[in-house]
Amino acid sequence: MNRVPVSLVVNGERIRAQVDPAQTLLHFLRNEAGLTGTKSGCENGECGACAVLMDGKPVRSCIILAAEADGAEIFTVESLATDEALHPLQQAFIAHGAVQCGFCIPGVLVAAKALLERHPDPSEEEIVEALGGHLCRCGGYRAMSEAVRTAAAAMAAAHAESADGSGFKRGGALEYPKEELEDRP
Amino acid sequence: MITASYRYEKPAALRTLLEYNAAEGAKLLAGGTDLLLLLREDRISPSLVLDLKGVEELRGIYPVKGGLFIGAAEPVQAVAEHPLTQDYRALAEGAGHIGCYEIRNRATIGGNICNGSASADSVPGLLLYDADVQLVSLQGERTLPLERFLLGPGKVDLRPGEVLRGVVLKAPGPGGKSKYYRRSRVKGMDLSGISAAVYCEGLKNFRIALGAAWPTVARARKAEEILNRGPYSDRLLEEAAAAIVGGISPRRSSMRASPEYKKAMIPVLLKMAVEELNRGARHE
Repeated sequence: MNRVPVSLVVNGERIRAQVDPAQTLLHFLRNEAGLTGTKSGCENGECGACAVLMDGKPVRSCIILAAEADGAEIFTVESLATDEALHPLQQAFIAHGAVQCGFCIPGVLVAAKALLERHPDPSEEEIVEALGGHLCRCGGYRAMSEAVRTAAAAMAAAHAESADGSGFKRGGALEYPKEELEDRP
Repeated sequence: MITASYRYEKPAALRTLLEYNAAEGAKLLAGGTDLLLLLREDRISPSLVLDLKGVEELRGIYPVKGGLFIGAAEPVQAVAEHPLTQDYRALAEGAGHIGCYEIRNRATIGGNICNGSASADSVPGLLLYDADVQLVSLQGERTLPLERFLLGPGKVDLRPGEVLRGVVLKAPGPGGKSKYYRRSRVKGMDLSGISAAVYCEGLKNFRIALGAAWPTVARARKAEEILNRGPYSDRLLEEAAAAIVGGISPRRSSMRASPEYKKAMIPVLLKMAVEELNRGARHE
């Protein structure tokens, strides 16, 4: 066994470490970087609870070695909210009641964030394709899908309004179309 | 948690990779979507895990004389969405069926091939285009048809010290198009129960490859012969499908599809593919 020197950027912060070659990126993030938002679910790459963004793409951190992340840029669920406000996706998940036990949510949120970067106005099919690999045992799929659409609309509206082009208005809750929320059973 | 104890190396030079790989106990790490499970379950105990993603020669999707090169370390999502693979539609579609988006961002085409799975989704499309595999070792290079590289369930002709560098597909003929269909218990995040890839130029020059029908993914040569006798008719397609169905004996113990289901679906998938590939076309 050797220790592998790694240097990676996690949520904008450079981390240098000597890692055990058997340590997964998931456990590195949770135990070394202290970012416990990323969840350990099946540890088999099946459930999606451990999803993080690696060089812009969602991946499963439980089946990636920490050593493989050398040189990578990682974003975890902790990167979504600012000090002032939750990310539009997080706000929409709350508004739609898409979070029940919440264990799958960190993975779903980063997958949804990556989806909206690829497709700012995703179709139902694209949402299902992007989130289809995430298991939610509470069965909140319907609400999650609606929340992603709502967040997409809110982000597009905020983008149109924002003078700085930052993508969405920071600070303060976004407004959601009332009728859409009242539609829900 | 992975309890195995091993060294990890990620060389940048192909030569260094091959030198490490020549040592006993080295295990190649590509996307890791299977390897990490084997490590975690203590089913392998390598002394060296050799990450091949640092080697440039194993990367890239680019045209070569007479066809297309795909590096073994390319993620299957790149294979699915690359502009150059769209002319090899059954491959792009097959690659796009593997796991889920997040798995596909890591899993590589080389890994999908070298696992030797009978249900590997990228392989039927590769076989349709008579893909060759390029293998490199300290002894040199060798190239052989992918069809001969696949030896049996979980077995490929990868010799000790060899690394799969990539695959070369032969360009489609004039008007050549292809389609991949698979059936699995659930849509997405499941392995194929049965799959079929069909290539044709209009209603001629058919090629057929099936996944999860035989112990390896393979071309249905007999069915191709029947179809290519022509002229094409639904009757001829039924005859070709019957030739496949009569010649397979899938194991009953498969958790994913019964022999009856596979046999019932093969004619259906072939018909769907031929119809889709000739949608809107007029034939005398």
